[in-house]
Amino acid sequence: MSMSSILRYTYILTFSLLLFGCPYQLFAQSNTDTTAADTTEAEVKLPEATSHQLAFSFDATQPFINSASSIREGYEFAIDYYLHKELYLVLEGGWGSAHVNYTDLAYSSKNSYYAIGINRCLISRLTPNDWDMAFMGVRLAAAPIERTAGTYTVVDSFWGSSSGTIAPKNFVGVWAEITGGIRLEVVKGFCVGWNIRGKFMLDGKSFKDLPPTYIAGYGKGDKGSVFDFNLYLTYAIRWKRQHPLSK
Amino acid sequence: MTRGDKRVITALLLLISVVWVACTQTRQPCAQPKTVYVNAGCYHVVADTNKVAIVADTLLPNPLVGVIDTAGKGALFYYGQRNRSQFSMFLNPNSDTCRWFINADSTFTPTSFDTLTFVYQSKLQFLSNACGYTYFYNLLGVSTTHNHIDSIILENTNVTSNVNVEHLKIYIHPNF
Repeated sequence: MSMSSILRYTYILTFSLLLFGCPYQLFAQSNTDTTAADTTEAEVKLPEATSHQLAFSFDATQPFINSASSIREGYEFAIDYYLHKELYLVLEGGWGSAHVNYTDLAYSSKNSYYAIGINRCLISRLTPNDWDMAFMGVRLAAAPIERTAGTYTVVDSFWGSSSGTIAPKNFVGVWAEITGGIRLEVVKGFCVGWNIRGKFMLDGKSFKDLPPTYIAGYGKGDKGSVFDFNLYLTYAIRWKRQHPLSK
Repeated sequence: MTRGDKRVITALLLLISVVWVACTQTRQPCAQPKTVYVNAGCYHVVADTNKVAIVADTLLPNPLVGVIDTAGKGALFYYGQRNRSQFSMFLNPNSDTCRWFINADSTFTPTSFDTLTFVYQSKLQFLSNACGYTYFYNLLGVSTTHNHIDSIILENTNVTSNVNVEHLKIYIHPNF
């Protein structure tokens, strides 16, 4: 190899190192500048050590309750995505129906529901791949509800009973939830967990006139606040988080 | 299997059983009254000085209280309950008027009975899925005869499932 070739390759190597190292230099410079401006912010900007996680959950108690109840049927699902700093974005949904056929009251209803909220994990990770969690969260939910015409009888042994019909009604129920629970990874990607929920109806006026005995996602429609329990089976998919440093 | 495991399994089975029983109930029991009442109290004026009346409860010594329905037949609901001043009366949801009689001392003379006539509007009211529907009422007026009753005052016109409201004050004649 001639001297000119050595110089040529040295030049290419040096230029390449400068070229590929430039973004890092710029990033490092940027960080340095930020650090100079605000030391605390630089600490917060440490890269997330965990991967991305998207989890799909199915409430396993619902088929169990459906089989036991002759009045109601419902299915509930949840999807959560890990944002950062132990915060999870949660989307929930489901559908259900109720068929009431008492001697003094009869009607049917059906609804779907949609909820959005966040979960905050309350325990520290043992490792970046530790996805076990004890959490608390909040939700805001809405459900379009369809109720058929209802028939009623007011039983009065002295004056005599009277019967009538209540007109069908379509309306939207809106409620807020506070929830807490636990989720444990039993096999890689497969988790089990439970939630307890306190639910508070926000628009009670819509429910004054024959509210459905069961609203999927909420529970008893004639209660302004309800307590609920879910047992979730979850499958989580994960993929690596792309850090700016790794570019 | 350890003893602890057996306890956990037993507790889980008990929990599942409780949930199962709760879920298989076709209807929750109704835990509130379905019949609503007009609550009345009996009073008399013990002194009336400087235009300020002093009022006290009146215990009717041996009251008879019952309903006179529109078909002309009656039914007795208070009998043999001595020294009573509070009465609960129910209204006919299939009509807009209803009559009750009050006899303060169970002496069966025509002048010992008083008739209360209630005029009202019925309102269908949903209680819960467990209880179904009932009727609430809006009292438009109450009139009375004046044998033993001196006067009546309608204190509250809304007849609902609230049992703590006194709707009607019945003032017994001072000479009784």
